[in-house]
Amino acid sequence: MNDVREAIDMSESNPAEIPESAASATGAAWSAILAAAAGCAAIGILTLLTETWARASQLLTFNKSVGDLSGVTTLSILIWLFVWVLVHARWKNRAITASGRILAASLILILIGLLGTFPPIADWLAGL
Amino acid sequence: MTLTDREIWTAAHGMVLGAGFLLLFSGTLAGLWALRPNLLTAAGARTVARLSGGAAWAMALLAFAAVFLGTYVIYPWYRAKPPANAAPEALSHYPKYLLLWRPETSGWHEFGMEWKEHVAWLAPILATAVAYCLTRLGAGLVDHPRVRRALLVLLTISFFCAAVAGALGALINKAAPMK
Repeated sequence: MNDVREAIDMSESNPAEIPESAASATGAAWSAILAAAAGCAAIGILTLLTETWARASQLLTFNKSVGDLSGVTTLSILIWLFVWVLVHARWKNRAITASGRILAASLILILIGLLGTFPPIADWLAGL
Repeated sequence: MTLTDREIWTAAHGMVLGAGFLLLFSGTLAGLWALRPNLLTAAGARTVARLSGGAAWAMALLAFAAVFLGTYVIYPWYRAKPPANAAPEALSHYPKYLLLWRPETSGWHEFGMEWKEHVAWLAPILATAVAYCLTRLGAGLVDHPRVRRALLVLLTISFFCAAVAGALGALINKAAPMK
């Protein structure tokens, strides 16, 4: 990162010219993106569980006045942070080349999160 | 012309935190979009990255404040059970049951609130990822177009989730005001 800043300082008034060496450790960024997507998927999956399975709803009721939303969101935040710490530790110094695959996986996870929170999906699953 | 405590907290949730998030989205989006080598000088890239990063962190903080306030302060008021055999006119302090009592408004709870209460939580998580990456890579994002494009996608989805939650919240509060 310091290399980047030094390079930028040297080309102060020119269009941003950042040397190739800057195109290195993007692992930390991709780990944050993938972990956020995993957190979204966790919200979707846990929401579907609580909407379709009464026992899960009871188990995830961490706070009575909030109901199972308290457990769904608390667990999802913990899953998000856990995945982030785990993936960050592995990727933080890496130059990621499979960024297309990571982005695709992230979008699928986010889609799971969006669909899982959409009530008609839970209604449909409950009716099966 | 007065507001109850519940109305004040509800207004803070939607009109201060929610609206602030939506406003900051525009600035963050413009900054991220502009972080390209053919658009900015090096000094410009540094400034835009710093401003966008600040806006993204503010978005994430506002979104977290909004969902925590919504979930742990306002939602318990919304879903509180009325006393047994409560008369229909007494339901005005129990928005969930007021909505469910009238067939023409039950969908606002069964679809509207059910979607809103969950989808809103995606917004702060995605906004945090965007803020972290902007801080971590800074002006270096100019050299990482794939990361920048991925962040634009995450930011847009985060906005979509907040917009859905905000719009549904406003409509639900119109159908069964929090008093």
